Amino acid sequence: MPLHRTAARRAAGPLLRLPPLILLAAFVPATTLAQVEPPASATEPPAAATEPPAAATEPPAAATEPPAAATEGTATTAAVAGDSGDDLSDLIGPELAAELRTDEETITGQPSGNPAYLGSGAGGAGTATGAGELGPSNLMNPALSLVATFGAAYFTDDRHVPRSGPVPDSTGVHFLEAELGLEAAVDPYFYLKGFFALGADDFETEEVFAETLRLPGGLKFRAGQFLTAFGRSNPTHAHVWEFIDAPLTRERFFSGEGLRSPGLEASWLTPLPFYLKLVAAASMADVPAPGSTPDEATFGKDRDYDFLYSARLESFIPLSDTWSLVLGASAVTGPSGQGAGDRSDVFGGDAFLRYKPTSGDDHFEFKLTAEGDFRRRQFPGNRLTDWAAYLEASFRLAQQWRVALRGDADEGDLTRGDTLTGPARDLGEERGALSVTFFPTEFSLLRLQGNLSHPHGDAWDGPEWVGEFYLEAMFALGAHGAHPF
Amino acid sequence: MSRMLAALSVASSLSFPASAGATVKVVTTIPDFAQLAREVGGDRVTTVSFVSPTQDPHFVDARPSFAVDLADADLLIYAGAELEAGWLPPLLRTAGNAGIMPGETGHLNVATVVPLKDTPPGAVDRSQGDVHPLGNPHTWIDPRNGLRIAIAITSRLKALDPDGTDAYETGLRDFARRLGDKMKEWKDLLAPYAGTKVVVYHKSWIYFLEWAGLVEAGTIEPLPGVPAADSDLTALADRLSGNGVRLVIGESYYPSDSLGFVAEQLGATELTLPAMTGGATGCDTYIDLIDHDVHAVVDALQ
Ligand SMILES: [Zn+2]
Repeated sequence: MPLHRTAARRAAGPLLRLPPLILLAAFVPATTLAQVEPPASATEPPAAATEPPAAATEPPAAATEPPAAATEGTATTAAVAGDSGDDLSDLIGPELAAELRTDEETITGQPSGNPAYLGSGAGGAGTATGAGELGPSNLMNPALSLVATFGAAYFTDDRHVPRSGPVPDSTGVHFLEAELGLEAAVDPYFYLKGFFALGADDFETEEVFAETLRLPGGLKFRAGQFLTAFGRSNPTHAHVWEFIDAPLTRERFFSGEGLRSPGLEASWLTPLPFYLKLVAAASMADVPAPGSTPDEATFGKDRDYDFLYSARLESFIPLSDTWSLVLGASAVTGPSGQGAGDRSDVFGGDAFLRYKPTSGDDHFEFKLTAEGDFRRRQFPGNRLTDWAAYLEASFRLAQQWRVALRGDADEGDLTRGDTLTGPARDLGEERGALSVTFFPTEFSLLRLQGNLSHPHGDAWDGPEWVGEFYLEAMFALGAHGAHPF
Repeated sequence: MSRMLAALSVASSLSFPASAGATVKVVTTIPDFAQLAREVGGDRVTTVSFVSPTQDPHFVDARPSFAVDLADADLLIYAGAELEAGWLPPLLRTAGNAGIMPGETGHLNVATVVPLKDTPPGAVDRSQGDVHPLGNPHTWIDPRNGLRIAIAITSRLKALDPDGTDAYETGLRDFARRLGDKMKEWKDLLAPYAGTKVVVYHKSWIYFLEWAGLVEAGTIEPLPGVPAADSDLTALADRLSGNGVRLVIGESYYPSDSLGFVAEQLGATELTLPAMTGGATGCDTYIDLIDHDVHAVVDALQ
């Protein structure tokens, strides 16, 4: 059954990975799929913990059947393996072979058969015992995680600038959200991720998307509902932030929830010797709205088939082994939702500088993030423009401690004036934030944060200064998620 | 602008071999696997490794440039058993390289080709710390595992580049002969100290210790991944005092003051040992690394 692939590889040469291979692979019978390991994050299913160690993992069946992915090597291995187990001696001499076998028998408590390291295909398929005897086996369950966030807040004045998303909006104690995450490889070609926000009394699908795994030429597609690749903050989930609240760029233009809607995204990792990625997407114009009035929304759908189109260019510059720089530029355009033909555009640039030493024992790390976005909206008979920006610095002072500072600001036309075609009302805000986070482990954190907010403008009738104080607690269960860069 | 980016990036990019086309591109997480691949593959392979030898391999940044290296790699070698779970999976997905996806010949998970130790006998949860739930992934620092990994690399290279079969087998035999000779020498050196008790910072030395005939009497980390507070250090020292612990071993990325304190309390010798090839001067090859560590242990015990 793996013959298609073997043949294709032989024909193409071992070092070529050609599109025809992908096409051929698509015709490999379904039985092959079962033998393909899920990708590493979901790698070995939980039950694997009870498996015997790898050298003994070859199930009896596997011993008589070469692994699916084995190509040319299969023949060699099979021939050698048939050679009354003398293969190992041939390769490394009888003395060392005996030493390895003795060691394997000591560790596994079983006679060392044909060790996995002699195979050229996927090793460690593993024997699962006791699973699926009365129903479907749970070995293929996706990686599950639950991140619960709680917050307490004190505002020096109840009339503060309203925030959206999972952030306390009034003095008191709040259950912010529990984010349920599921992810796994669907099959060799697709990976599926789902993130669901469970609030105190609502359930929201943040993201559910499938992404391709094996397209040639650095191409990747995502389909489903996903956070638009715009700037540094928008694609992220709240639990990876250094602060309890979103920066004003996200808050003002896309809402604390982030810009997201169902659509299709293509990304291309260019075949250059350095990292340069292009992302383009089309998604529905029906997105979470920032602010509390319809005028504050960036996008809205006028018709059922209104789309947002977005693009992002991202490059990574490894300044040294310890210093990294990411530069990005993003744009998104779509209907403003104010009338047929009226459009909104948001443009942004971002930079991320990171220092992480590769030696020493003090865990010091430094991150600096900057993003600036500009928005322009067409309203019937009117045109509104505004901008927002933030600068954030984070210092990991010890393994369990992090301190972060953020300054952000926005300024410009927020809503239309009283006469719809007259001068717009503007709102500006300058805000400073300081957070101190204690991480007992990677899986929990306690955070203290203070904000000083200074809103102003025609659209603001609250106090000039507001102090906001937060206490945040976060707990993560389940699969060891990967850390975003 | 883009020209400037290119210049900057190329300077620190190792991804383009001088003679592209004829070689197998091997990408590894820790440098040891890359060195073993060079032992076997010689000129037929080019290698890139992501983890610096003095860096804690549990906490590595998923630098986007790694995805670029993965995108045109022919063989990926990583420790597995969740050592790299925090950073490698998204890179692998970003790279989208079909040839190195799980299940392919170009995907070598070391934890599937060496007999793992410390596999939890039953269910584990994180009340026991940030345990490695699939078994201990710090496998490479036992020369027998080094040999197993080299054999596995040989099998994969032969499958990926059949023209090089003879070269790879010759490379492996030569490596096995040199390592085998050294293993005899190391065994003789270590023999007088069999059963010596050792405290380690993290449970990353069990493969080495068991091979060397040394006994792990305790860890400084109260639980895996949890740094030791002063009270933990005192409690450990109290518990083990009079037990005859002679060495306190840790890697350079663990707090040396903790190692020093425990060593002093126990009247033992503090030993900062490299666990990866290139992690100290004179450890440029895998054999040199084990040699360095064996001699450091023996010197400390003499
Ligand atoms: Zn570990």
